[in-house]
Amino acid sequence: MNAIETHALTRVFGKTRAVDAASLAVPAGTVFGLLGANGAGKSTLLKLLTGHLRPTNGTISVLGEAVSGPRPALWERMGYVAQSRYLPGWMTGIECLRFAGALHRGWDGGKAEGLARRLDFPLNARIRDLSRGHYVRLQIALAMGHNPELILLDEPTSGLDPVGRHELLGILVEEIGRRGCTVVISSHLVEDIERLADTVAIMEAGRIVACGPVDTVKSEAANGAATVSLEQAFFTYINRRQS
Amino acid sequence: MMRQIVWKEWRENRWKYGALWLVFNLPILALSVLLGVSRAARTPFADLSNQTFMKYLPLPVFESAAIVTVFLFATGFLGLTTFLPEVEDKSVFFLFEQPLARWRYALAKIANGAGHVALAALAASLLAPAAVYGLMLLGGKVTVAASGAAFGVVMAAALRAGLWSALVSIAAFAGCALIGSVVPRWWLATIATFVFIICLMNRVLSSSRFLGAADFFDLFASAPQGSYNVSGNFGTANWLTVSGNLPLPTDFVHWHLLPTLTPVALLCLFAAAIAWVFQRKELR
Repeated sequence: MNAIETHALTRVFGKTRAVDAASLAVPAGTVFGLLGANGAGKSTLLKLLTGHLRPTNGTISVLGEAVSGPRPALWERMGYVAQSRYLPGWMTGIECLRFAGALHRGWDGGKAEGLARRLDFPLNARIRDLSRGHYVRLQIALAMGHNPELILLDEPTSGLDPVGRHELLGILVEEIGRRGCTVVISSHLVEDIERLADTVAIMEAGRIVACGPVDTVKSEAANGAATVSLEQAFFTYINRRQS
Repeated sequence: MMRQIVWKEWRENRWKYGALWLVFNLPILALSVLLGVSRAARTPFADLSNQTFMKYLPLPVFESAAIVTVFLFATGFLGLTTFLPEVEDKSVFFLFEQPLARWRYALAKIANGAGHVALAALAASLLAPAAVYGLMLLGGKVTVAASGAAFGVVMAAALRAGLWSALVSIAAFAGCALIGSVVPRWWLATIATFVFIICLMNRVLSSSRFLGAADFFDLFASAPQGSYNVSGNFGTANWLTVSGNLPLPTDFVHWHLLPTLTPVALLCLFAAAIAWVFQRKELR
């Protein structure tokens, strides 16, 4: 069963096709990596999956439900870590967690606050005063606090120092291993995706230029030559597309 | 859900709510200060008889007139800033990521804000005559026994005016909240709010005839004519007529159902529009 399916998904902003006829299937219980340069359309694709954006064309199915706009009930089953910063700045971390907790039926307060403490997160600091690293930690705690079936992460390691990246990826690996939830993670840091993902899609100018299990994507990029790394495969697909 | 929204609104807007209460009660506060510091201001109250009491007591009913005219700008500001800050900094999308229908969130916020506005308008409308009556009683030359009945009439008129000004205020609040949720720039939204309030004020001032009043001020100052007879040692006030029946809430002739429902209909319309706008909002 697929946790996510899209068919010919397109989103147009003015004259720009931010996502162009994207069709993909993410099997449930797997880690799906979205690779692409800045502006490739990764964030737009994730926002379409969450219902934060409406598709211009095409269809989306998330956890068996059709998504063409806001689907509040899905947020009980889905967590999202956005790249942009829009948590209410006046709240403290603990207030934010408790606010979200009160609105989710399946909220695990102990887990969320424990996660925040484990990540050495200042729970009583105002969100507006948080560094990028602490902000992402709070987002992770919010996204995982209700034990979702699907977690969407948009560039979660962007702007983090190596220690922060290591901690964050470690938590994700642990969460996936423990509960078998589906994770979609977008990044332009190929090594992060290679470390985590079972399946990968490479995006360029809104289009998905390659999609499949990591090994398959790498071997197709190698085109019969010796094995290549995911980074080499990424550049191969991008160069092919641009030429 | 509502408890969480009320908590969030209180934390975000408590200073603005406080400022609204302060603004609405400025006239009575100013009057109290004036009476406290100025001998000249106390002169009319120096030899208060029930007759002079009758002359001056209905004056604070004008509080309601201020609430639906000049203070409408304060209500408009509160309405404008109900959604604008969280739409501008996109923190509204944090709410949209909770398992909560967007329209429910929008309506909960409107209900909470409108409740505060209505309560502040009603309380200020009633507080003003009550406070003035209190000052007069403290003067020692007005007795409750002789003036209580007339005070009741004035308070009934204040209640009617207060309810009506509360209705106009919540319509203004919801209209400005809609502007704040639609217009993407604060300065543009501020201009739009100013224009909206001016238009609404003009409409309010010109609609008093629907309420059976000869002019706008008459609307607030006069109690309904009827068989009420103020007994005691004072005659009919020469400036305002305060004799008559108490305007009972069930008496739709006095309460004027249609113009009363107009602000309610406006509130519902604006709230529905905000819910629709929120349903269409995208995180770009």
